[in-house]
Amino acid sequence: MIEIQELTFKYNGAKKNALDKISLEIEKGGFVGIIGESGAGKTTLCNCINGLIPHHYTGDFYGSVKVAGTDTFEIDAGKLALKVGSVFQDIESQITGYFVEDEILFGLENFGIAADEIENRIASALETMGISELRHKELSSLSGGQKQKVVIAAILALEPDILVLDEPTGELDPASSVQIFEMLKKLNEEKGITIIVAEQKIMLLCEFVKKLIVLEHGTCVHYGEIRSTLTHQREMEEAGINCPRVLTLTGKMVDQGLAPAGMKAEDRICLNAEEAAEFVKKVAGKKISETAASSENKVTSAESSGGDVVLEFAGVSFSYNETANVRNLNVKVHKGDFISIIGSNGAGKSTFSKLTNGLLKPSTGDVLVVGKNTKQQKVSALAKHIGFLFQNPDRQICCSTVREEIAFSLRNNGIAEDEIQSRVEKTLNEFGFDGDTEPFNMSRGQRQRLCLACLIALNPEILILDEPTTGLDYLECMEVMEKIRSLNEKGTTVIMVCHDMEVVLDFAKTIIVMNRGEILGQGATREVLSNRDLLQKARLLPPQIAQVAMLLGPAFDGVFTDDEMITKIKSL
Amino acid sequence: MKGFLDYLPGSSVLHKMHPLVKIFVSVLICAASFCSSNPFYLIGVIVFNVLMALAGNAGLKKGNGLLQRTLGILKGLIKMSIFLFILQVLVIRQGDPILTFGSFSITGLAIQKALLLVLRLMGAALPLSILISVTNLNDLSNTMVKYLHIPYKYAFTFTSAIRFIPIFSIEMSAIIESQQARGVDFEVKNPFKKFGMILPLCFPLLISSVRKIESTATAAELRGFYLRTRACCTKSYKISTRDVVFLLLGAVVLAGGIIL
Repeated sequence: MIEIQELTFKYNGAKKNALDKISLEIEKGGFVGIIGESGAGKTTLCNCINGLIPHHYTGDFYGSVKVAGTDTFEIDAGKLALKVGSVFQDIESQITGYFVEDEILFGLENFGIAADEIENRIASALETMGISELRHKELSSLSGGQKQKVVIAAILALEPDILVLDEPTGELDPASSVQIFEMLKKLNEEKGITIIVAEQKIMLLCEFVKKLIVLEHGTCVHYGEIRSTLTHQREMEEAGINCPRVLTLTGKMVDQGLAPAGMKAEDRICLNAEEAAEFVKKVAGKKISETAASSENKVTSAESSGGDVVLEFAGVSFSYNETANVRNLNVKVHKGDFISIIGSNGAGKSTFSKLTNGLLKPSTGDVLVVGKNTKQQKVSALAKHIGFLFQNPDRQICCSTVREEIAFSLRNNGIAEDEIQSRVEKTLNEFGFDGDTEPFNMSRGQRQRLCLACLIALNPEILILDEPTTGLDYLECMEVMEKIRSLNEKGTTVIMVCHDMEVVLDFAKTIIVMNRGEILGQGATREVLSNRDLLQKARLLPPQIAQVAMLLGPAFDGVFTDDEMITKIKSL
Repeated sequence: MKGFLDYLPGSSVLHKMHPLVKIFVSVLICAASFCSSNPFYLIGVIVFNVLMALAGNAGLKKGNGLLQRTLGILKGLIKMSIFLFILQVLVIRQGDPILTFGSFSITGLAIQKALLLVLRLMGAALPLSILISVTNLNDLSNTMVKYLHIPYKYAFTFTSAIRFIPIFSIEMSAIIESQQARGVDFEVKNPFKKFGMILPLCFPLLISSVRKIESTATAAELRGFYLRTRACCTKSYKISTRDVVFLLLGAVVLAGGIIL
């Protein structure tokens, strides 16, 4: 279906090749994932398949890409779109209409589909995506997940043979991301559509795709059936790809002689928690069912640090529209705490963090930051105590060099010029930045680090992080999080809004679970993450190894990491 | 978040009218505002605008929010008008003085001209906002292509520009929030100081806008945007009696402006 021969591409003005000698074939009906670190060439490869390269983005193009026998050079991207449908990460910018129906109609009319056929196509595309009831709705009233489904339906109406999706779940929460992938699986299995999806969330790829392409610095280092590709787990991790924890677990089990004798490399590849639980059962055998929960399994973990109260929510409620309401929030945060706020979209997490730094003022109740009521404080005054790291670094960066950017933050907060110079130099050294670099020439991960550097230079008492790991690859994510951990160890209080349960488990000391504007529960990280009912109520899944432990039964209660799992297996 | 030009859906008589008729009538009302030199007539034009908003609001109370939006714009225009009025009165030196403070005097002509200016501003600024608010932009670009023979890429660019206003305004609010969180004091009252603070934020706004426009262009290209011709539109837009009546009403308003 797709033949790529010796494909090399360099963007105009770029120093390096974005893709380097890629040769691969994707057969009809395939479901292929593309993974790689930031800047590995995932988007470029997608754009070569859908014809945007060479027709929209120009540069040095060598080799060939053939889609259903047609060279993409010989057909323009618009016409190729009838064969290859494309979906992108930025949902908003793909939308052209006001109503859902307009959105589907746009492509159909552009391609001159006969009027009598249009009605059938609209109805069928909406039905396939399970959103027929949204047909006459305004797009602006839909959730992110629903909008992305409409975008996919609009492409499906064109009846393409191939769908290319570039990080389609980048802006979605875990539950909506799974729904999108379930839809893709259905399209692949029932309609026979070939699906190629570039994605950072490897757990989703493992669960759904049949084949995996692993890119590293523009070259295809591995390509094959998902299980055989994942046998290269170690190389993938070194290349900045975060492999699922179940793979790390089975890998360590094999290394420590806990795997059955004569097992092939592929036999230890587990794609989800269920498979990992089966694998463990094979190793531990009957012992699992025979072992009852013992007192040593009791969940223990670090509680609140118990220092002075630096932030207090007392009976706080706030509402500004139907979707963003919080009710009766009562929280006390102590100096040195590392709290994670978890919950699905619309739970009120962002409202909570904006109430903390005074961007929103409570309708009832009070928020006290280091004893001062936010209602009587300007946001800029609160910024001296609270650093806020936003999800999107590009909204924060506004200077032409890294040095100026750090100094800008300090100047805003009334720090003396001499002090600014010394703090800037100290921060530049600490982060290893070249002060003269232009921020917008840095990678997304580096820009996120720059924003963090600007906050750290201010030495705030409280740090709020809004999805700090979104858009970062594994290595970048770890780098940012380790920096935050070391700050926390030095006494900075950290409040983190995060969807990634693995990051929450690894870094947070306590958790607040929110759902539909209310706090459902709060407590020590492991205590909360082992409370199945609470997580279910908040529509959340526990970290992957905890899922495996839950499947294995009470004997494994309190197991959260691969090392703990191995110790437990050995003890049986 | 709603801007001042984005579509407010509904099924009022204004919603049902032909998109081009609505644009044409709004031009007629604008023209009437500039042609008339009678302050009472201009007040009448403003009242006519508010009545149009009422018709498009589909009800006196809540409706789709058009009336509320129009009154909000009017309030903003009045604030701006007060500033403009004072400026004009102070600057215009022709005519007979009616008030004298030492060597400085205010003339009757200055007051008359300043009043006309602000009333014209209000009369002319409202109709386009009201009538675009009740027009689905897809219908507008379709009719521009079908009846005015404007190439689709220009019609699409025009309607996309309107569609992007609220998107950019949300982005700008998010940028301002990000900057406030890092200590920039936007809560100052001095407008000049505030303006000076907002100016550097154009940089991140520009970067994100260019990115958004770029991805919109690529997404549209891959949905056959460049292949669209006049014949592609499947919806029909017919001129009905109510369109003719509305056109005549617009013409009467213009004629009144010229005569009075």
